[in-house]
Amino acid sequence: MPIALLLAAPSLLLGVLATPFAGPPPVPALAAPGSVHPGVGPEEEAEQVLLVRARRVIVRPGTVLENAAVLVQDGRIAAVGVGLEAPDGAKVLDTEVLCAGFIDPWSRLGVDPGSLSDRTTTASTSSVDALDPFLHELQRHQALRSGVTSVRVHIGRLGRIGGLGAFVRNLPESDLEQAVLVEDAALTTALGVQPGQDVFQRLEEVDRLIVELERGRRHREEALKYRDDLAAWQKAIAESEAELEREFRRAKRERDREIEQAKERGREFREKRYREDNKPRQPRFDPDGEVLARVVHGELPLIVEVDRAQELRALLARTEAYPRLRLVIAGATDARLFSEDLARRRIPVIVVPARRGQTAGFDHDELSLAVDLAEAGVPLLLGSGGMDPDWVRELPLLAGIAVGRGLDPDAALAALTTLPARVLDLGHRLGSVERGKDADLLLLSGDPFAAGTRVERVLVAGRPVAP
Amino acid sequence: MLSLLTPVALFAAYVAAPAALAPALGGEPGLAPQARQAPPALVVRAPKIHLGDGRVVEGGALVVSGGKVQAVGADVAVPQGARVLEHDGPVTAGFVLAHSHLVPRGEAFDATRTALPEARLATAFRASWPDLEDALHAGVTSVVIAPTPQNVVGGQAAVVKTAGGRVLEPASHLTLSLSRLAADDTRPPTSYAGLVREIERHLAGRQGVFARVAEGKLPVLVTANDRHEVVRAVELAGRTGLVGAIVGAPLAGELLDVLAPSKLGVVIDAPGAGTSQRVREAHVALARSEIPFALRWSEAENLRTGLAALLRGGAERARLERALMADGARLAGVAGKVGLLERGADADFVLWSGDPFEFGSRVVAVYIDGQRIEGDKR
Amino acid sequence: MGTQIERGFGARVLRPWVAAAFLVSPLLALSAPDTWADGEEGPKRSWTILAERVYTASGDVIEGGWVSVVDGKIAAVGPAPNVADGENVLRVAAVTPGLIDLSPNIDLGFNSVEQESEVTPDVRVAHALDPFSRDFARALRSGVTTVLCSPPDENVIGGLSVAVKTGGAASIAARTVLEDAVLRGSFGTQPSRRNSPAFGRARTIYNRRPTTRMGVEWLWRKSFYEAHVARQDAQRAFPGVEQLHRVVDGALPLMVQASATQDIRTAIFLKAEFGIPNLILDHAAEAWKEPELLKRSGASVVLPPYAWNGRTAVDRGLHAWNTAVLLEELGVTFALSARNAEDVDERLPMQAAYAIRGGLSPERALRAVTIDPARMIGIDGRVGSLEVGKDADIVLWTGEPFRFTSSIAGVMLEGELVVDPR
Repeated sequence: MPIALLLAAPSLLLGVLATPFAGPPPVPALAAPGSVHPGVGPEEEAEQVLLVRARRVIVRPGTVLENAAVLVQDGRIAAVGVGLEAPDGAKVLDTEVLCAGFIDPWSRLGVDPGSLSDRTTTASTSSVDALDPFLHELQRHQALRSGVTSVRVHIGRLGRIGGLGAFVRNLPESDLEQAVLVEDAALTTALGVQPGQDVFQRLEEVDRLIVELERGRRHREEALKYRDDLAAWQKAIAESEAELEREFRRAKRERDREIEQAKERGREFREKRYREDNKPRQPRFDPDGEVLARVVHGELPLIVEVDRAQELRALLARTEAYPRLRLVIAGATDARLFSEDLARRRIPVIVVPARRGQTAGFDHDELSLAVDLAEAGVPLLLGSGGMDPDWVRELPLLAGIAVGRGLDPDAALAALTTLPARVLDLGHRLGSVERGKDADLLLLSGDPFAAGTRVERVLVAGRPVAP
Repeated sequence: MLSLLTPVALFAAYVAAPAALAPALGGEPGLAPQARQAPPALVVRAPKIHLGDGRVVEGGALVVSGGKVQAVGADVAVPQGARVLEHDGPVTAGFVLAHSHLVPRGEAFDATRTALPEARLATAFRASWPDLEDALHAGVTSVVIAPTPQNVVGGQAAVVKTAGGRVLEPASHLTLSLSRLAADDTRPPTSYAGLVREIERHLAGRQGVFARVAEGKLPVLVTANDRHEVVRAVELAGRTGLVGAIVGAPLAGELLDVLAPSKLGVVIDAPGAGTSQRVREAHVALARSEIPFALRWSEAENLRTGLAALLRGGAERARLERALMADGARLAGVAGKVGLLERGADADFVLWSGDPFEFGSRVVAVYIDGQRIEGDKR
Repeated sequence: MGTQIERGFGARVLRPWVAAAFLVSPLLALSAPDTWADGEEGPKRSWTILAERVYTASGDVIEGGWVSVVDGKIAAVGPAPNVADGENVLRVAAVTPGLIDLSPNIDLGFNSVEQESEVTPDVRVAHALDPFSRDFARALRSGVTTVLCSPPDENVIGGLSVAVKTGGAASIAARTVLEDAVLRGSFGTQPSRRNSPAFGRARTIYNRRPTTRMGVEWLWRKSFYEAHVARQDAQRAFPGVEQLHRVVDGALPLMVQASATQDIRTAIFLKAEFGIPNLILDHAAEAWKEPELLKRSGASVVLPPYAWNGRTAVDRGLHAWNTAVLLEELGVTFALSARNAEDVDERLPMQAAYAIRGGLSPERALRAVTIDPARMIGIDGRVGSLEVGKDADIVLWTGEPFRFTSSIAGVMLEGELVVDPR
């Protein structure tokens, strides 16, 4: 939270200041429709205006503009279209293909192994607190050069429940305040990943997860009940006070008489008690319950790393009781068996091509899994797997191989751009090349998934950062 | 496909078993039984024919008869009675990989002695070994089979076809190892100095195969992985006049100054997914230099990913084609026979569904010695 | 004299500026050309070094001297002419020759030991070195430009050592100053301590012997005896006999590790028994214990690094602070070594400083890390002192060398500034 505040403050200030400096170019209003921006960090560097002209601009998967250009200003996309003119002083870049930066929805860049395997995490543990801006500097740079501009990280893989995953920009410098886009991108947990567990222990983990979800539901119920009770109480107090105000004289007379009578009878006077004196008790503060409540009510996605069929089946069956829960499955080696169910419930799956199959050897099972799930209509995301930071840079390459195996190129692009942005509630800022979105852009020498395509330049928040 | 392969495989197994007979088979052209039946000439027309040395013929044709390439070019005469095949994708020469252990498990290493100069891997060749089929479906038509690097002198490598069972060259190289694997402390030699001494002793003795090696008539494949091992190999070759290639050498690209004056090529692993960035950059540097290099076989998927990674890293397409075909054949010691589609070369070529370097492209069919083998149906 | 230097330039090296009058003296044109041979690409190898004091190691100290370097060789040494500042002109407080360590302990561990036999005189450690090793880089940074790399002392007769430069081309062959510089072997417990026990199980398939000091001595004598026999009877020759013959003939120095006094005695008796003309006792911590014997033997000595507890790492030899002084008084040729210590305060320049602290004269300490070790293995024609025609391996100092208050400002290897003082 403090980081978000810090981010918000300068951006608001700059937002005010930016207007007079905007100058001649026709800058459309940058405020995103309907939502509040927590701020785009690096404005102070991004004052340069950029016009990127491309033979093909992939606006979003399936939508391509030929011979178009993108105007980048203040770290955002100010305009997209054919025949855009470069404003005075703007720097012009030319490229073959322009598309949105890739998002790795499951990575561990900047997370040390100790935090990753922490067993003591709870729902409110924040991954941001474990982020080490100096860790994996090289891998981050390599990831950036391969086109991965932002990642989701999380900690506590071996804990009972993982904690809040963060959404982090892949900035080359280790500036956390600019890099962290969302501190609470999702609640993350893993089922059945500890070695040596038998099937019952693994299923017990599903039970525990459900217990946690129940706790969240109860927390919200209690909170709502408290809110209602409090309102009722306040209303009753107000009514009583009004009544007292109205009938003050009579009430005073009656009270005086009662005091008189008590005196005569030699008894002690007792004040009359009102029902309104019993103020409802506030439920105990429970940060974990709060997070879990948000999850149960679909305000935060729940990302569950789960591979085997047994846990998957139990998880899918038991989460059906939570209609608002936004479940995301990660890993999902055995997900083929449930592809219909997953497609029907629109549960996104993060497939990790680098895993190469959990049980089988090196047979690239995961690549075919991606193809099969996408064909079955399951929303498909591709991630680097959160175990090895070296694999982040391979993500675009592996997506290319998946395309070679039959994955629709648009589905592959969606799996790395629009879908993860949407699943992680950043659809209004990232994932596509549209006006008002953050300028995380890739300048490519060819089609994103062609074998020989080179990443010629990477813009993050409008800044050229690589190579 | 099986019915087509079986007689060839049986024949090959029959011939390959006694090593002495193998040269006769490898040396003379057109001895494969199918080829002798002399089917009518085949003409393959394709929008692009990649010859193997980086050249591409646009809208040309390839004329094959008797298991050999008769002509290739943009305007070649179609012989009378030739069967014409119109292929709508690219055609490349068959890939030639200059190193592999594609023999049945356990056959590539003999722990009884540390120097086996007269051992011939050709005798371990099994045409039906399933891994060969993986290589075939990746577009590989010829491959060097070599012993593993645990022995300082591993034996004689052979060049074989990935289908049809033909041994192209029964004794293509002598394989040496300057790798740490050959200097473990369970058998002598246990040190790098010991490895060098052992090889130099053999070369000075000029017994058997070493006579040809010392004269530079038989190339060597020297396994060397660490940078200092590579430098050692180059120095050894400089002192003793060895010719051939260094195998392994993930960081050879950082040693261009050392390698350039030597007569050695480099055979590298295709940098598959997960290869460190340093190794990849070294490979790209190697691919940008003029040092001849070729690839070795590890996995079908690695070959494809590795090529894509090199392209993405900035390697030239034509150079990679050369590494896969013409330079591969050169380092395998079979230049002129395979690796380049020219008159008189073996009719080994691949019909692709699309750009051969592209992830989505499929091998439609492979021709080895003019015989068609259907591609993988996946 | 030290104070005078410290009052002078100290650690500062004057920034070059474009010299208006380039040809101040005709000598300068020769010594500091602005282009080098054939306009060849590569590091600059020609310099003019002006120093308040030039320590040549072979002659007197030159006050206000210069060293002119052309194409990696020393072209002139002497009192400095009048030289204007320029791109190729370096001004420092003092210069010495590049240091030489005869016992640097740089190898590839067990991959440098040929365990096939305990006696492997024909194994060349030159083929078991890593030119990219950080050990070389570390030595170079501490001013050591030439080292004698030997096989680790796990064999009785380990093989042939090689004298190499610590930097330069990525190839041991290209860096070699002298191949087959000495035959290296070991006394003491080192070659026997890890061998197969008489009882219990062997660690490898080798039944390695010897397991005691006695066995080590026996193998030494056996080897030389068999070499002696093989001279008469060619049928009895064995691998490595040629090297043993060269040792006895004086063509190849024999360098042995002998730390404890009993091992020094054994080595000296071996020298007498077989008439070995040139014996170098390495790591000879206890050389002070029997000075007369040592003196009579004519052997030269490489001293181990000073240890804080007074005991050497190998064989726990008792190493006195004043051993070097004692050897100087005896007239025994000796060199200092650092065995490639990782700590900055244990590297070769500091070893010289400790010897000075033990009473050795600074001049002699300088010689003990430069020209004396060079003469001991016969590489003084190329390195070891600042003389015309020798390699430009030069250490640039911020003050008087080997003082605790001075440090190394720069290192030049064959004219290339590998540690740049500017």
